Amino acid sequence: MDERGALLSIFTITAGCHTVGVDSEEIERVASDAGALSAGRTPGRSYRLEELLSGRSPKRAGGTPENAHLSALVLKSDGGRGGLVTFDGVMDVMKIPMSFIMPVPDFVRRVQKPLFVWGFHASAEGLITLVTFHYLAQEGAV
Amino acid sequence: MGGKERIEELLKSAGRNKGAKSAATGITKEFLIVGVGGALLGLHIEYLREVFDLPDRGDVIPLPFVPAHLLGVINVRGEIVPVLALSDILGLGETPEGSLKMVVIDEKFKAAFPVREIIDLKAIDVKELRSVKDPTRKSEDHMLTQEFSYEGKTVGVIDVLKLYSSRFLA
Repeated sequence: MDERGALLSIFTITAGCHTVGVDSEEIERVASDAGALSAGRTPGRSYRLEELLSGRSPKRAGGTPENAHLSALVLKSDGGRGGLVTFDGVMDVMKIPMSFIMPVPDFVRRVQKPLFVWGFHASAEGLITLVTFHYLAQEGAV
Repeated sequence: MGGKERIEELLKSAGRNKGAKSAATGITKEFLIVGVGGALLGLHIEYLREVFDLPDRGDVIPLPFVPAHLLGVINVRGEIVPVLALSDILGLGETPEGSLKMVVIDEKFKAAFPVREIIDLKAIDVKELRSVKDPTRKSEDHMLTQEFSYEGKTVGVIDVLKLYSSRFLA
């Protein structure tokens, strides 16, 4: 996340009833064919976004993306092994002003382990849940 | 009425008045009385920020990787507020699924909790507050340390300071 600038570039994904935003800085690339991606290259652990959102343990939210999911985010390795996040929703890229972001309260930051949802953005289409995969990597799960 | 009788009458009256005064101190605390689970709870209005109906129960946004007593968050006019399952924390049973009434409190930070029913806002004389000890709960988990009677029912007073310093919110 780039807090220096006034705008944050996020990659938005529709996952179930959620619209999720991921800081573009965390993403190495996006692929619309997760199956082909995982067959050609295994960048690290893969996660199903819907399962992460449902609160399933990061260590159990993995799976084979080629079975049910169409698209994938390849996460930047950030010194680790990187990772793959699969999803089956619509995607878009948008820039949002940092001042329009509603961060989760400190209390939530303390008890959410690992930190995954870090804020929200109220867009015209509804609330976007801002998530980070950075802390999953720090936990050693990625 | 002779002087002696007059004094005796005054003393009797004074005694009655004094007795009546000792039952009520005149010092009151205002409580919001709510129904949570199967219990009635009193919340001192010092900590009460607002009460509102949620238009849609989907407005509570669930969060992954959080303890069960944190139901999620709500957007209160641009501020993200955690929603607590107070009935779980206090051991009062399940949080009702259909509960759309939300109470927001503030001590160290704002927190909301769903209630079954908003019952009354009542001034209670401090003399009417009784201490409660629950030997079945650990001291740190015992957050209903006082109670009072309301229309023949017992209302447990939420010790908000203890709630915020408990393992659930600290």
